[in-house]
Amino acid sequence: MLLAAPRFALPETLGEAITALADRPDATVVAGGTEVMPDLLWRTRRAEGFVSLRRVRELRGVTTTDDELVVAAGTPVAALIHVEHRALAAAATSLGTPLVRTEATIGGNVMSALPYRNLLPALLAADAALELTGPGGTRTVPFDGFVTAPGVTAIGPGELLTALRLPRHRGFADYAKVGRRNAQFVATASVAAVAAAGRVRLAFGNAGPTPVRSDAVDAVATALLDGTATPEELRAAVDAAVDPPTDPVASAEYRRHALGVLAVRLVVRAQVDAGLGS
Amino acid sequence: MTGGIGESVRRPDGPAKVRGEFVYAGDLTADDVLVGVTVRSPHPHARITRIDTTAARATDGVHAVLTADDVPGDPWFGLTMRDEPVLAGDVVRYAGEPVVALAAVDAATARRAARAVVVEYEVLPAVTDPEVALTAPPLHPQAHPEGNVYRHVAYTCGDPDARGVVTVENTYRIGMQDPAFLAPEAGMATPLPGGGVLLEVATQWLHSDQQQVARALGLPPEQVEVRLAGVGGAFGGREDVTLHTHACLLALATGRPVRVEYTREESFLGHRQRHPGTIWLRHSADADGTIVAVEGRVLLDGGAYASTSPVVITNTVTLLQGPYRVPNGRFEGSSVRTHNPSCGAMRGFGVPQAAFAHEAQLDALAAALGLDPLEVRLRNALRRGDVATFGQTLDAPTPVREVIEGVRDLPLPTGPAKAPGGVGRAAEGGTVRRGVGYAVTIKNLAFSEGHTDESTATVSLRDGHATVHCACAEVGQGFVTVAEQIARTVLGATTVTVTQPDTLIASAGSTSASRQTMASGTAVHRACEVVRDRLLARVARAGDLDPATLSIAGTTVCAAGRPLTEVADAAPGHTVRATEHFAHPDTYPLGSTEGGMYVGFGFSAQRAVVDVDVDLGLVSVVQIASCQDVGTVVNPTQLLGQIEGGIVQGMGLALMEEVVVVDGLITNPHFEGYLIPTIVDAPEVVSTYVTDPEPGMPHGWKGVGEPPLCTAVPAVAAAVRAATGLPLPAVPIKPEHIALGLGSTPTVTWTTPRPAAPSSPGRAVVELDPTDRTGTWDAEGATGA
Amino acid sequence: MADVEFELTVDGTTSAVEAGFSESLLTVLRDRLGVRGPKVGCAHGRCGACAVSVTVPGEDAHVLCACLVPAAIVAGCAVSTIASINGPDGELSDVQEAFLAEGAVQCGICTAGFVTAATELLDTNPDPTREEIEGALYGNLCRCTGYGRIVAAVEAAAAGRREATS
Ligand SMILES: Cc1cc2nc3c(=O)[nH]c(=O)nc-3n(C[C@H](O)[C@H](O)[C@H](O)COP(=O)(O)OP(=O)(O)OC[C@H]3O[C@@H](n4cnc5c(N)ncnc54)[C@H](O)[C@@H]3O)c2cc1C
Ligand code: FES
Ligand code: FES
Repeated sequence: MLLAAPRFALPETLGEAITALADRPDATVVAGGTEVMPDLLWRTRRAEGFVSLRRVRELRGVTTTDDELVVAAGTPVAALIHVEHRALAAAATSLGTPLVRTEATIGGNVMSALPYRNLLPALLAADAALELTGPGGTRTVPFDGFVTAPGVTAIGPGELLTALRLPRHRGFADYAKVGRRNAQFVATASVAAVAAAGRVRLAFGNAGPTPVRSDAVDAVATALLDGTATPEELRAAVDAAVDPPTDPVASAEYRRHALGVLAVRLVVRAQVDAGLGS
Repeated sequence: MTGGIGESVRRPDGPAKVRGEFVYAGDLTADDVLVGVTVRSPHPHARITRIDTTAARATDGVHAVLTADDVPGDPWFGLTMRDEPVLAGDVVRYAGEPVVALAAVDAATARRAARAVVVEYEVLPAVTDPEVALTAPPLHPQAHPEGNVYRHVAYTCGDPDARGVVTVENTYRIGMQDPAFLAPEAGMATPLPGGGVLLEVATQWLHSDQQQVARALGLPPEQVEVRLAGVGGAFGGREDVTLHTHACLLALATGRPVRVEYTREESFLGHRQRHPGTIWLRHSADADGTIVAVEGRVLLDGGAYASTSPVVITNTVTLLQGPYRVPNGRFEGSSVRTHNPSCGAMRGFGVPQAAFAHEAQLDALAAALGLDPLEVRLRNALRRGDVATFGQTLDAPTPVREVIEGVRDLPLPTGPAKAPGGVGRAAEGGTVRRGVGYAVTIKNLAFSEGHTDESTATVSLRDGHATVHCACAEVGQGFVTVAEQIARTVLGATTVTVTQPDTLIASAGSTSASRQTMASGTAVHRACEVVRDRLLARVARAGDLDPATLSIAGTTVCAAGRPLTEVADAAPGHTVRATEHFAHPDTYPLGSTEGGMYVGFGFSAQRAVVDVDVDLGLVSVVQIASCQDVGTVVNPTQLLGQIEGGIVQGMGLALMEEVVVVDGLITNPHFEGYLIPTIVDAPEVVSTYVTDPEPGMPHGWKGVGEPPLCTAVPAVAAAVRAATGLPLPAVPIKPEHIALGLGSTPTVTWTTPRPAAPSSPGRAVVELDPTDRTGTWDAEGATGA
Repeated sequence: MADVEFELTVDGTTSAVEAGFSESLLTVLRDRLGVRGPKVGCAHGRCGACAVSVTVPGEDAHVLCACLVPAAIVAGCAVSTIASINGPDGELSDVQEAFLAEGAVQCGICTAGFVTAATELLDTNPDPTREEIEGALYGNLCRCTGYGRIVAAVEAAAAGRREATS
């Protein structure tokens, strides 16, 4: 172990990390710190100590198997920009700034559990699964349903998010978000889409307290891809599925509108990609 | 000649800045230094029922905890009206108001102690609607028993009821913009032997700080020495006193140096913003677009304390006419006290608000009459010799037509455009429409209405090395470069040092109102001329020459045009020194018959090209072409920097920048929520100039800093309107204004022409009865979104 | 309130540091080590005035926001600030020189961050397009210049490198 103190640990292996956390049950897990540090500055979070994942080698890196893309939870967002899964890559590309992405991790983004964070809709559309490791071993849960409320997840005490597993996907996938300037913005609303085997799976960010998807929306989106539904029908389906907030940045009405528009655009891009559209 | 006026001389402070070695106010430190922090009110309006500092005082490492009771001198301060408490004692009037100042050994201890301070409040109702505040009982009866209006301005010219064939009217709204200079407030106070104090601070106006701080400390001003510390941007936001007095009080209370540095969040709370406002305007015109009459009404929310609110309102109201001939008009407006954050100076000083409204009106007029927007502007353009609605004769170059023509013919953008929405990749697959919009503005330069506008400089020359001392605050604008250029051109100096400004020399006024090249540049120029003449007189005496035949060319003293000696060798070991003062001709209050309100004016025209994703309401500014009246080009690179920087701040106000205040609380006091343009948002800028020398100024120079911002706001808005066909009567334009089509359309009324009554008092300015209000927001205009 | 003790190598000098567990690298650099080249513009990752390059053992150097990184997490790492950016003979680097020549510096509070990020860009991509320049620099805010001169400076420095290698 590189550095340890009652209120701080810098483990180098996953085992050390689990132990360090067990020894410091009140400590906050920190990966890139890009979420935790502003929270502490603004006093929206308290911390009694840090267990840092920054030096845990097993938690960094992207690997592929025949049917899965496995992203270790401590992989920096900058390393996702060129991953095979285009929805994840696109969501990573517009996350924060170049100076943030070098340290910000995929695990931290997921564990922030905030509905406007970039990677959440991408992971939901990708039908990702999460690998959670605790003193009792490792379990795998679907990402769908993992975020239960803004900032709250189904992770257990003493557990770490160790990896994200995405079904391998080389076809069309994309992510788009809207904000009030051209770079470095929190998503006012965002949509991710994955098209596989003629079916479209959509997921929505800042469309409700947790990331949103619905079979009904996907059915209409798939029909739109086939040319058997209209853009208006997809927008209506999205409208029925989402429940976005009103805040000083935007009204719920605008968010509803933007979510519908983005959904249609992503399906149109999927059509173009499949050689179906204009 | 190298390094003189007209050249792109590099900044003398540049090498230290690119190396990261330049010392900013936030970098100051000293042996034994303490860190000061401020405890602020969380409520926009409350009575303080108890302050208990026991726990804070008992914290290890805390050296002083001060409240209103510890202010030895005048408990009130302010730039125009002494209405703001140094520390609130009984009542707080805005959220963020300082209540306690304390100093401790380090920042962490100081912040912990600050959290240990107990302040109990009885929360009182907050008046946050300026319209309500207008007629509400006085919010601050101690300082301002008459009511809540900081200043009401009203006048007419000609016959305001004259009519052409059409009237166009609407109500416009402008959001609250933050100066958002990148280095938050910082300074350090050090006790001086003899009971005085040295304040090193990032400021725009050293002598105003000195007066205000000394008064609060109960010291004579000379006991308070203010020295400029490295400034990381200002834009008006450092014109008021913020941490200054607190740092000095703490230093005097502890006998140790105390440094105070605001966080970004505190910076939003601690300094003044640009006034948000509502403007109703009605233009009446003939069929060919000639303006017959303009009526306007302005309401600016000045927030809790006066700052410069009484001055800003005059700019907004009088410049509602824009750079156009307006023979008949009625103008009225107020800045009013509320429990919102205090507003004051920001680059443009009341004019961006007016410009946004009058330019929207000109486009609406053109649209109603089916005329080309530029044609309407050219038809009405002010010219030299015209009399403004507020009675002043424009007796300097007034190149309105020239700036419009200058921008009209600039090439349109050709390169690939940045997609609206940028890195979010939302626009792909959507409909993007291009829009082109124009705006033209008038900006008053320098102080107005009798406020002293002066500066003093001391220049010394020895062996070719010139030293310039002036209290002009360098905030990034490049005065240090200009001063060096002047010394090279006039004196033939081979090297120049511009010393750090302080209060050991007389006031240079504020680095604001586009005034420092005019005021301090001219003072430096005069001092250089006197030094030159003395040097030449000395050379003449030594060589038994006629001083009238001597001159300086480059770095050489010439006799009858022939090189005689190098300036550096002209008087070996001898220092020639001179101190000179400059003051603009007097200005007079609105309505005075003795003379004009303003020192001078600058004019600017811009053409904005935008791409708009109409469905999502996303905008990308592709290009802004600018033609500005600049008098003369003193330093091409620095001038371009002012134009580009101003334009991007203006597009920020047009599209994204807004301090959102809900029930008196700022919801976005940070750079996550308060968005300023990034490098991806910045447009290509094409910049050209009209150089018609300003009379009375050396080389004909004039102020250039504010017009680019004033013009960019309406230009960008016009381009977005052109792309969308929407009225967009409010800035910043939000995506939902476009996507959902929010905001009301101007009302167009066809009227029977009615010439000005022959008995109407020509162009004289008449004060209206202060209670006589023109127009109402909702009945006559549109409500913004 | 020191929770942790560790070593940090800053611009080639190794120092022992005591810090609170959540103290940022920026605070440690500026307040504890007196390294004031990195600036504080926001302390929440938005402005890039605090950008420094960090080398974690086993990784390549990369530029990050010092205000966002808890200092203890980079214990034992090498940090290089604007003070390490120099030309070959201690003169200004090409990027610094270009920032001056093109007028990319006004108040200058953003400059160290921009020079740091632009240097990293040109070291990895000596011939960037305008889009790539913007893409690499949007984590740095400048309130004074409107960015035009900054883009011009980076383009000029890139042109200089092209000339030097051709
Ligand atoms: C300037 C700036 C811009 C930003 N822009 C964006 C943006 O555009 N889009 C966006 O989505 N986000 C943005 N963010 C937020 C943030 O950068 C991302 O959410 C990032 O991915 C968080 O990762 P991290 O490693 O830094 O998280 P940390 O701050 O280290 O941790 C975040 C949370 O996750 C927990 N955690 C981290 N890793 C694990 C793990 N393996 N197991 C269990 N718990 C864990 C932590 O305890 C903490 O609660 C921005 C942040 C900043 C400062
Ligand atoms: S101070 Fe670190 S990004 Fe602003
Ligand atoms: S030069 Fe002032 S912020 Fe960039």
